[in-house]
Amino acid sequence: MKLKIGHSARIGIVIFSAIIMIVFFVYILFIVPKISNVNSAKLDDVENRKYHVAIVGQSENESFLQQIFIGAKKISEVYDAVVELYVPESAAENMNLQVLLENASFSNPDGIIAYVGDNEKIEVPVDMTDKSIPLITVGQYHSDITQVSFIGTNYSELGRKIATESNSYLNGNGVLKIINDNASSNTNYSTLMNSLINSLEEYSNITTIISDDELVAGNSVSKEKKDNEAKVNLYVCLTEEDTIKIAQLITEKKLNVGIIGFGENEMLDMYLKKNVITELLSIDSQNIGVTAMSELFEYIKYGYANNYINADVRVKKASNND
Amino acid sequence: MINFSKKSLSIRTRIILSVISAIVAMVACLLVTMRLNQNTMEKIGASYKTNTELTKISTNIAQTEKAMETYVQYHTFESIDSYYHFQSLSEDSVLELQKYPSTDEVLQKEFRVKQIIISFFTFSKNTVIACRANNNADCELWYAKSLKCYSYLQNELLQLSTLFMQKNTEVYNENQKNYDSLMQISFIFIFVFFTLILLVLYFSITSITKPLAEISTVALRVANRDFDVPLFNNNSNNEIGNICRAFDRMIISIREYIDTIWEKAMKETELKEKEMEMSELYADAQLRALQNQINPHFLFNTLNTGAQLAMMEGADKTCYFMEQVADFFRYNIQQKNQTATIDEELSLVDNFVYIMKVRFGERIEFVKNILSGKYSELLPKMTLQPLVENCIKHGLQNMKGIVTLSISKDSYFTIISISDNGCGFPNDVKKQIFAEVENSSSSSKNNSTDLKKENTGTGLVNVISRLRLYFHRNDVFDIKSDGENKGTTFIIRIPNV
Repeated sequence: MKLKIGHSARIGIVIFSAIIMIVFFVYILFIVPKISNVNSAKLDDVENRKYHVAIVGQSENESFLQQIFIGAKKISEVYDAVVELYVPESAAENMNLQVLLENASFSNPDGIIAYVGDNEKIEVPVDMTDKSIPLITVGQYHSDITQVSFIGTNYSELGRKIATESNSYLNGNGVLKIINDNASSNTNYSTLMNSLINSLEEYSNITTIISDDELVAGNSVSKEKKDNEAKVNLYVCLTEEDTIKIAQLITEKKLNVGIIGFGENEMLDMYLKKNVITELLSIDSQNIGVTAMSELFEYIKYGYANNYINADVRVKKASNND
Repeated sequence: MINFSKKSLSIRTRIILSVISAIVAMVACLLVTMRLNQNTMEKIGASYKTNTELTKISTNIAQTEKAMETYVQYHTFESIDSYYHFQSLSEDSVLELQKYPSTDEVLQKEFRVKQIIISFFTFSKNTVIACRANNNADCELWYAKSLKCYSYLQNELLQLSTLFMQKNTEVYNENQKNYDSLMQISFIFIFVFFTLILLVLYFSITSITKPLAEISTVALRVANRDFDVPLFNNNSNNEIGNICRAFDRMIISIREYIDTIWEKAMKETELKEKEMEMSELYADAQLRALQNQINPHFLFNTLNTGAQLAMMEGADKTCYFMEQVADFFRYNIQQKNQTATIDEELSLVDNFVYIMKVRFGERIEFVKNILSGKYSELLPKMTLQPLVENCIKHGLQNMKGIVTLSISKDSYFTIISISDNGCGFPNDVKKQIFAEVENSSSSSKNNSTDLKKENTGTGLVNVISRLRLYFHRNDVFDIKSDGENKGTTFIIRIPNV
């Protein structure tokens, strides 16, 4: 059979062939570098920095340090720095803060932001040349540590803020119960409680109950206590743990009471979204990270920085989730 | 200037170019595909290079640490040599690691590992220096720090190795995916590409061979004597163009040749017809002569007998006269040739004029203006005598008839003119005669017969027709007359051979 195709069709086929060839070679040009340089392609948005900052802490402070890390990382580009978080991933891997600092110092960072707890005594880490590495501490202030700056929570201010928010919720009248389940010798906690109670005393129509025993959830609780529970309009929790426990309790019992909690994590955010928690107060830990970075680099550049800085308190409300 | 247009390329060049283009395209396609394969395999294979290098670094550092431990414990030269050797090896590899802090997780880890290794080298070096200085306190201090650092380094190396492995696996998987898709699409492209090459080749070869097929078709038609074929009018400068132009010229030549042959055949047919006509006229003349043959033969014999008798009786003039008459009739009845020379014709004219002079005496004057010499030019027999007879006839209408016969020659013709002093030749008669001559081809024999009847004997039409047929020229004979009573001149132009 003789194939008969017109001249224009032949030109069309030739042009089509040329286009196919061009597409083929363009495709090759596109795919070859992609195959050979997948690493390079991924490194396009990667950049080298001049400074190296380590955020160090123990595993129990991971979520707090994580927020500091986020805050520090946000501003790291301004200081041409890379920020790293050195926190054991689980309690099983946990170790002494001093060891953690020592390990961090092996990588010779230009600065360290460390969460120092209440009773922890540490030595300032040194680099391989035995030179002290600038240290910014958060958590508990220790005057005996040679630190560049301490960025901490003003617990008195926090107590006053909680009292104000409670009054606002109760409209100046109601029963408020402070969950004091975790009553400890922590000085910060004591400061917070004192400040809160003192502030609440200013509102005469608000009845304050301090729960200093186990949470009122079991069947073994007395009738009197149960009656008191029924009158409570607002629970005030001063730790993350207490806030979660009370939120769970309220959810189980389907009680129509408010919760003003403290802390910042995903579970708390979830309860806040579900309107189980009314308000959530927390330290603006991301801002701590930003402040820590600015203080650290001020020290690196000028050799001095603010010794003591208060962190801001942030309020998230269920109504606007902020 | 070289013209590289398609029309100027020879078939061989075009075929070679087509084949070369196809081969080059296919080879390029295959080479690219092969190179891609090779390149991809190399890159995929290199995915785990970082792990290999890290293992090497890790091994060297472990050897360094081991050597340091041995030296701290035993202070041997071998151990310190070994320490420096492995440390040197390690340092070379470590220098290749990430130099600056990086926003990339893996690179940052690499940077950290590098820093920790550097710290380890510093601590171990301090350990060795302290040991060599027998400074046990410092030695223990740096040794403990070295071990801590090494322990941490091992952990970091492991994490970095894991990160490398994860990243390399990602890269490998991604490369593998790209490679698979590349291969699939390459196969499709190769298939489409080859198909298109075949199509392009097909069209190229078809465009080359198509004119040949047309030439073949036309050649077959020409071979079957069908010359009514279209011309190619191909202006290309390649072989096909040359063949087409040659073929066009050949067809045009054949057509012209056929036309020439056709014209020639027509002319030959015409000539044959004229020859046949001349033969018929001659036969007619002979027939008429034969009709009169009884009398001429009898008269010829009788005249011979009378001439002998006159000679016996001594009547010489009578004898001569009779001999002349006998010669005239002898010439008249000779059937051998249809042509005669001018001299033979003049001789006959002399006989005839003598006879006429005996008959009419002084009333006839015959003048010959002929230069001496031989006139061997041929002309149809019995041409001049009828013309002289005609002139005598018309000349005798006067008191004295003067007939003049002249022969002259120029470069092209021998001109015979026979004139009289008679009453002249009317134009209408002249036209009628020539018209009769023209129509003689249509064989208007009867008409000519009518003229002959009027003119008795061999008529002018017969003479003119025979002259024209013999010489194939219409201007061989002409009649001139200056007017009434001014005589007539017959002119015969015989072309010189």
